[in-house]
Amino acid sequence: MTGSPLLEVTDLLIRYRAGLFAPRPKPAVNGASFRLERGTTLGIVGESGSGKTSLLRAILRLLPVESGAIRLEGRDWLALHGRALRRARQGIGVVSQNPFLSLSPRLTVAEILAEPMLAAGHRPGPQIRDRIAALLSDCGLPAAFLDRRARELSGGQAQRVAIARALALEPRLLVLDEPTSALDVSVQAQILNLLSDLRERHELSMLFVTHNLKVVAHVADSLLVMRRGDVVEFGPTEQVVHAPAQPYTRELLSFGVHSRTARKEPS
Amino acid sequence: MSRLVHRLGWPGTLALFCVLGFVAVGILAPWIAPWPAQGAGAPNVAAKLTPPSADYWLGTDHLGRDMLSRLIYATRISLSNGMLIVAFSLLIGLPVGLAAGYFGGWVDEALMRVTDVFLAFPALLLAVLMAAALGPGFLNSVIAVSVTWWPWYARLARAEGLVLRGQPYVEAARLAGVSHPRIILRHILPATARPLTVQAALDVGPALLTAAALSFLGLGVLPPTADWGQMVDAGRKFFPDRWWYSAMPGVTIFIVALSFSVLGDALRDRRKGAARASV
Amino acid sequence: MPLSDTTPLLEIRGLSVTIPTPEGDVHAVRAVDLEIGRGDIHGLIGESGSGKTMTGMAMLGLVPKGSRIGAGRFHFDGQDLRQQAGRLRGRRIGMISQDPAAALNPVLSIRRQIDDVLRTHRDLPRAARRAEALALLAATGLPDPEKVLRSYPHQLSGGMQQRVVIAQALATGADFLIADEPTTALDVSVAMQVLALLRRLVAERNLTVLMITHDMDVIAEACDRVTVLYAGRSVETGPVEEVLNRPAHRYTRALLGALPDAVPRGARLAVVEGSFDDPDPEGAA
Repeated sequence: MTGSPLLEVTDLLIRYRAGLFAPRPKPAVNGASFRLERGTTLGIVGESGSGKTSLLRAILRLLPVESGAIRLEGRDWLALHGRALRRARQGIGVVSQNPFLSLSPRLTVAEILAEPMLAAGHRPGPQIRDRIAALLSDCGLPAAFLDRRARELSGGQAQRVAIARALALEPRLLVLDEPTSALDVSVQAQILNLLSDLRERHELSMLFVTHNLKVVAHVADSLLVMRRGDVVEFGPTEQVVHAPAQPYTRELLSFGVHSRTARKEPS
Repeated sequence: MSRLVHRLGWPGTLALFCVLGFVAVGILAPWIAPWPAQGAGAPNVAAKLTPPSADYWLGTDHLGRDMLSRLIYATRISLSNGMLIVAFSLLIGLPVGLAAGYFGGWVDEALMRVTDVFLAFPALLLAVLMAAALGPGFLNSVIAVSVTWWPWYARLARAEGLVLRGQPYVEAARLAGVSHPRIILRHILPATARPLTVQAALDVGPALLTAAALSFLGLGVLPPTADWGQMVDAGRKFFPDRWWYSAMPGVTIFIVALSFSVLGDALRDRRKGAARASV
Repeated sequence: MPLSDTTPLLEIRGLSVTIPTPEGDVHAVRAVDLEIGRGDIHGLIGESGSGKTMTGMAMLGLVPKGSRIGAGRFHFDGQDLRQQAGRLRGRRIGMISQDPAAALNPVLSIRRQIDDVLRTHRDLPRAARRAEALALLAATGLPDPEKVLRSYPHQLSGGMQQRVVIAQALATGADFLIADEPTTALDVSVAMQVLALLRRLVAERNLTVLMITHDMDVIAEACDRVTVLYAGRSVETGPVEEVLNRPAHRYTRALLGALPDAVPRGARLAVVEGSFDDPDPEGAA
């Protein structure tokens, strides 16, 4: 598919409001620009205070933007409000870091998965139940899980449910906010495998936000590295990983490789 | 039974049975009062101001009515007074507070400034003023106290709404396109139920005390209907010679208020225990 | 120290920790062997439920009330930890926890918090304690120790807080530190600095460290030797480069294969068997 990218962000500036007379603080995101092509995955990497979360929240319209533009499928995304925004937002699936916090503790898995569909105007009934079961099995969980509650799930299972919910309305864009940071390495591997399966099956575009450069380098087609509000690196993953422009990126990539490469030959 | 004790502890279980006992007494008043007619207000002047005896276990009042029967009938009024005050207050405070906390911004500002106005007056003074303006009577005294009471629930509900609004699962519902009323009903309200029931249970005692205070000042129910506060007031003239007249309703108020308070504490502690166990 | 250089500082054989609960016994640790030589940074890696934290807690004598500790051998520098853990804790065995913000009291100045430790463990006059506190903060690489001493925890960044916690652990005079996920709450660039600091301190001050972590990068970055835990059992132990490059146990192999940078981009990651629902303890070995 050629033409306009799925998501295009231009010169985005986000600044948190201080007090009325306080001096204007440094922007949380200082002029970010990038494109997300259809069917690809963009990794947004940064440490705490880098602005990655602000950028993500602005794209989800949870945070006001000071200046700049966001276009989603060619449309002016920042111009939507109220009901129109609510409906348009259903085209974006969101998965956040801690599945136990992002799943309501009081609802069953079936109720959790039905919620977006009911909100979108689907009628309750057997079709929804079938669709939910299909979603769940798509995400690697048997239908027996439908009647469980979040606290009866393991971390990996809960994150699968959260992913299933994000896919409930067949979104074009899947936004993942540190989706594996709260999980064990072995569970993380399963979730990353699942995401790459789903991406192929549903032709999803993904925005993968994380502090872990190595995780995102594994799944992303292109990478955007943020530091203190600035985009310090943006390009195809291969290029960023093998020839990082910034010493900062190189440092992030070097973590933990001492023993596995340098120490490989017994010293 | 042992599960109940396990969850509420001994004091909590005891308080729960006290509360249930009083409720039962209130409901069954005509059947268990030794002198039902006197309980409802019929005078019995021949036996006036009799000390506690075999016939009149807790003595009689200045019209010769059996104190025990009067107390039993008064339980109906006083208990429903306390519970209705809490219920009315929840009915106003909960929606106001949840709306303020959940929506924030100018909605919050507007609602909470109104709430603050009510909180600016000393509660009892405001209740007395309201009761005086509305005139005595059961329902009026309930309204008078509720007016001073709901702001506390509004504040509590606002705090809960504020916290819950930022919960990832509430945000997830918003991002999934769920409407605000539905989010409030499905996600916010159920989560506030626990802390609010605890507060409500704790509050029945003080609410009932405030209502008793209004009655004591002659702003509550009117004779011949009995309520504990009014009985304490009536007995005041005969204190200390006819000590039982004031003492019996006073002790009753004390026991009921204490029961609700202990029960509320037990419910709150159970809540903490549950939270700990689930982590 | 002619004798002590050859004998391991910590010697554990067949450690088990059983925690009684209303629902029955929980076998948090089943069979852990651990031997840590003096001056080593020894990694203890495992996923949730592997028993790594409880193993550390057993060394500190901080297991939940009523727990049963079983061991063929549970010795620290020749003393039996089953009896001596409480006495050694804070004297010879120090602790660095995951969340430095929680480990520091938010309402006390750094000076007070380090001074409290020094006063408890060292018999020094006031001025000497202050000098020692400054020296400790300087040793942890904090710029401007004077200023840090006057600060409160919230005025420091996460990395600085963790350095203060390390200084506090050193203030006890402990020569064996148990670091439980010391860098998990920190950003990668800060974590690397803190780990480098630990390595330097170990070399300079003759310390020994047990590094409990779930993160293979931390092991690779900072440790000399590593023990892999799975479902309460130690399944493999050896020098870091040996274990990481030639893992002997299939769980270790799977764990390494599950790392996103272990395979080419986009390739499927290895799935650790039996870790999906919950680890099947018997299927572990």
